[in-house]
Amino acid sequence: MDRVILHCDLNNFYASVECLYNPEIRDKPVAVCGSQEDRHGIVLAKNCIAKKYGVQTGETIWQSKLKCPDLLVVPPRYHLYQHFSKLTRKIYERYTDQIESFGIDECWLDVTGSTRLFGSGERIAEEIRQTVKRELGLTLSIGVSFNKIFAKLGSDLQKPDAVTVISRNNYKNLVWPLPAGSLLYVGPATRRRLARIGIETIGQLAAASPELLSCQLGKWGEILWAFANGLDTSPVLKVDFQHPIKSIGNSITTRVDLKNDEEVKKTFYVLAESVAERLRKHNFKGFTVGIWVRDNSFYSETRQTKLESPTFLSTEIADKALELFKKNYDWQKRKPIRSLGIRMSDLVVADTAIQLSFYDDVEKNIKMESLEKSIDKIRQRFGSYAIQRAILLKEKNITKNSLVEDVSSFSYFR
Amino acid sequence: MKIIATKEQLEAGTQTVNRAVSSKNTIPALSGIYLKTSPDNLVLKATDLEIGIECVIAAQANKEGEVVIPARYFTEIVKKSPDEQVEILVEDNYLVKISSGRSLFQIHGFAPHDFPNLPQPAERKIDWVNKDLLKTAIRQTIFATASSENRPVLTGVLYERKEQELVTVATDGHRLAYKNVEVANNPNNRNTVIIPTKTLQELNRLLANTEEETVGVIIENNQIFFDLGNVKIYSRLVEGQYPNYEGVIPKSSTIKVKLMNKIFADALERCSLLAKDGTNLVRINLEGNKLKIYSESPEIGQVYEEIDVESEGGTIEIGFNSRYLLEGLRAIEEEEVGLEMNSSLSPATLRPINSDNYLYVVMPVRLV
Repeated sequence: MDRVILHCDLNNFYASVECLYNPEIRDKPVAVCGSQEDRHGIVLAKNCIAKKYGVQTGETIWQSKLKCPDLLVVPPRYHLYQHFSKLTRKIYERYTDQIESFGIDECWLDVTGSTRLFGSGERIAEEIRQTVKRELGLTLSIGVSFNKIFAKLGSDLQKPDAVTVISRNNYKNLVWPLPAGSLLYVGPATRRRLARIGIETIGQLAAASPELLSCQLGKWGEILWAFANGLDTSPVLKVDFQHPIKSIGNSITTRVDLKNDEEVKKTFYVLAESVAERLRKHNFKGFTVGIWVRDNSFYSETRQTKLESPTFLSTEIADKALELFKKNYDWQKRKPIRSLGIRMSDLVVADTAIQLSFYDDVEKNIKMESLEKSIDKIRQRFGSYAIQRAILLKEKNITKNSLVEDVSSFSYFR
Repeated sequence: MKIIATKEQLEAGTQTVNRAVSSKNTIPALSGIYLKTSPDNLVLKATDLEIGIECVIAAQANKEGEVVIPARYFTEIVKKSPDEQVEILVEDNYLVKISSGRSLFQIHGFAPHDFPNLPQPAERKIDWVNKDLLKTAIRQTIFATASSENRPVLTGVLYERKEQELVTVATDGHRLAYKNVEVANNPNNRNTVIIPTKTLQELNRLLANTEEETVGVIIENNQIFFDLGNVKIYSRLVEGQYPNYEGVIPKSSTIKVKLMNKIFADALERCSLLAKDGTNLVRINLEGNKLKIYSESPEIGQVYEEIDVESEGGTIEIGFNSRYLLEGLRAIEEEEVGLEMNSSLSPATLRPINSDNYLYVVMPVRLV
């Protein structure tokens, strides 16, 4: 029997939540944007009215204001969005226990087992759409299909506040004429490669030979071919499934471009402290230190290196990051830096037995470990600025609240 | 040009040099074996530009000449030849006809001038080292080299020629093997170099086959040459500064244990059955003259062993990677072994009881 899968996408999520809290702006063009001072001044989300003016997610505030001079710009309030995201999940949970989040505003639901209780997939989708609207005041676009890929595609077809069914009977008419880029995981690069061999639509992708596609795209060729033919079989995860954490990272865009090693060092300390604290919180140590550097022309690159022994110490992480940076970044030839990131991967459980090496200063490490753990406790009780590294005391360029946390574990295939 | 040789000689020659044939296809001639004739012998050479092996065998030739024959085919053809004698005829454009009995191969060879010249070391620098001592020095250290390229110097063995001794050292950062052998006094040959592990593996293999008592060693221009009589090995050296290994060797130890090599090794082998993954952790607990060894694997179960030892200096609980301990014990030939420790977080030493010329230092595993 075919599965019944829903993909629920909250329309203009951030902007919709902001409008709920400020009903007076509901009838005006609204965009939720990052802070210009912290150089995050881009559109994160917009409401339908702003969309009509051509305001696009990802463009800068001044670009949007050119199109729509009356645009109301509001700052993001992530805790509210988290809250509403949880509330919608609670509603989904009335219908199934297989709910998989895809970002903060999207979820897949497998309702195959619930159709006897609640009716067809379309019926359930309709009920969810109405319930969310009635109880939370938010609108949803829901795609209903027999696999996750088509369900996701369906939710993109009609916006806002709609249910779209893609069935075995209509998918060839509905899906195949669409451009290949509407398929999940076909990004700009893949789209260009497909266009080079004359594939513009999903239908053409489905009709192409999988061998040809593998030649062009590697293993993804066959996967995309299966997606286009409705052969995706990946399951919707259970509600309580926790993705195992593969890496813990942090990045930051500084208020002013960084121009020398000293400024980079300070930034790395802020990043490393946050990464180290989160490693400890999840009881991990990491073997591999990776850095990500983006210069002010938006060119970015990554480098990584392996430690002798795994660590969760901020000093060790920052020092290694700086060493890696100095080895690879030539200030003479390169531009000032806009953003920096640190990522720890190759994680092991922190309190496992660890093979020591001649390069370790074990006694010192043990002292440092208890020192950093104590700092965690002080910060928990008295706030994150209660205790600081001296090097960061007068630092204004790097603000901790502009850190972007990133725990990576997501993979479509398991 | 026509060459006549016995199958046995040719087979020995091709097998000897074959290991140096390049597996990469950057220069086609490097995938071949180079042959050069003189009136009553034949020189075979192969190189991948990292290591080169040269071998001289008895053969007859009608005139002097050279050719390169694809190694993959040449070695197999020789090995499977039906007759005791093999005849190699080189015609125009390096077409090689290999005949034996009623079998005839025609193989397309390479032009010999595409094959790189192996360097000619200065004979006056030669240092003669006893073959068996050299073999032991390699065998007892080579296993401890690093396999990852993180620190390139650790992928080789440190070779220190002092006036009256030869010191070899290998480490991967977790354990270190040190060997010191007495050799003939030779004040002119003091030298410190790092030899790639692969070169020493090949040397060890060829040393097993040679009948010579001594091996000539020449170090020159960041290269090393080994002269084994009929066989010569050329190798690039690893560049860089070897870490200060003396700093790693503990100066003194508070806890000293004397134990029987085989008994300890056998017990460790058994305990390591349950310590297969990650750090191969075994816990060792010393109490007086009892050494207890534990290991466990959460899903599978646990193991406990006890052996009798002689000890002084108190009790200790310490964790080790069983593989590191076992490799060290295997390298030590003596029956009685000393295990010396200071604390559960500092390096431990294994050494033969009645000799000072071998040391194996191993870092413990930090227990939870």
